[in-house]
Amino acid sequence: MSADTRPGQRDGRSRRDFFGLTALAAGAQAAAWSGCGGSGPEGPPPEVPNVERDIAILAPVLDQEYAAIAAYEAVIPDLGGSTRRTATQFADQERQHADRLAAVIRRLGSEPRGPRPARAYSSTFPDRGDRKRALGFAVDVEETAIAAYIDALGKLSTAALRSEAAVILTTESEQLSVLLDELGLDPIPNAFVGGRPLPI
Amino acid sequence: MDDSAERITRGAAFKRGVAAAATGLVVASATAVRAEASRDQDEAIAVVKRLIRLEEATAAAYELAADRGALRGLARAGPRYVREQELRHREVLIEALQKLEGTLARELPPPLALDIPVRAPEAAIARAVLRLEHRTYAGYLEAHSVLRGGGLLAILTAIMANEGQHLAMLRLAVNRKPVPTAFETAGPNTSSILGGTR
Repeated sequence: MSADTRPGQRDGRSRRDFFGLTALAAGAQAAAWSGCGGSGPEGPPPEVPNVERDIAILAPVLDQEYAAIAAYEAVIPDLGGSTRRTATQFADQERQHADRLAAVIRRLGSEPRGPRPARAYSSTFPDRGDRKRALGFAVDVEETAIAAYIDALGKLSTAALRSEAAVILTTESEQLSVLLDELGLDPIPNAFVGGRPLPI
Repeated sequence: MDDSAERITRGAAFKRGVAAAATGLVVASATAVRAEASRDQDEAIAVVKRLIRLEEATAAAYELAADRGALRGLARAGPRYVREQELRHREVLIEALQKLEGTLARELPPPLALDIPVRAPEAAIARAVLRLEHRTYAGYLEAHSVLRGGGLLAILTAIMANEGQHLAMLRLAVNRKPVPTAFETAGPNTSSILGGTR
């Protein structure tokens, strides 16, 4: 199954608007920091903690989690039965991710931002109204979150932070598989989540 | 020798001393960086070798499951489909190892024992595959605390997330919650999956 054929992506341009902006913000911020004493895109990051850079990387990932919570809250009414219970569980897990990330940012010495007003997220959500479109949107949410964590993992400066991000990334990947399975699609369509990275 | 000549000589000697000291520092620093890079490389090679063996064991477990008719509905395609993904991981890890070592992979650690009785019932095989998959995932997670980043870590991240997907589908196949926790940790008994690499 090609990722391009997933229902969640066929009409996904509008539903991606908000998440696209979030991901762009994350990338731009990280790119800006990488030019401020960090390693270039080709080299490994230094193991010396770079607290300010780590905070700058994690802050947009936290906002991504807030967006995911809002997204699940928006799709849950479109779902029923066990699928609804699954989405409710995933929403709760996204809240736990947000709490953990906020705690990490606090531990690094910064006060994390809270979620933006609900409208800031929901105004860019796509029309749904049925189970298939709701699940397709949830697939997009998870794919966006996975991309954000993969991006962050390659840039965080310490093993402890990378491990924190890794256990969340894996959970997001697991959620994606369950959602694809609910849609009747191949739940593990690629041996390399996020696409096969370039050779080392 | 007049005073000015002596001052010039002393000045030149001082400058030469400073230059020599600076050169020494640069050389020492470059040596330390090379030593650290070499140590990192050795560590990366050891990690990748261990992960190759984990992938082989997990692939063999899926093969056994397929032969015994276990996990038929796994991921809508059955255990051989998942096995193919494990073999793709192995292939990419071997490519990475060749690039790290600059030669064909040598001296891999001994293969891991499957520890699944051949005549075990289907349910027991399924549980054993789940245990093995969890051990493999734990290896990748541990690698994230061992390696410093760069291209190899990106490869391991992409595989690790896929192993998590295998875990979710295996749990579904054995009637467990597919995503039981918000944080997919390595579990209580998997703290030294890459033991011996450090």
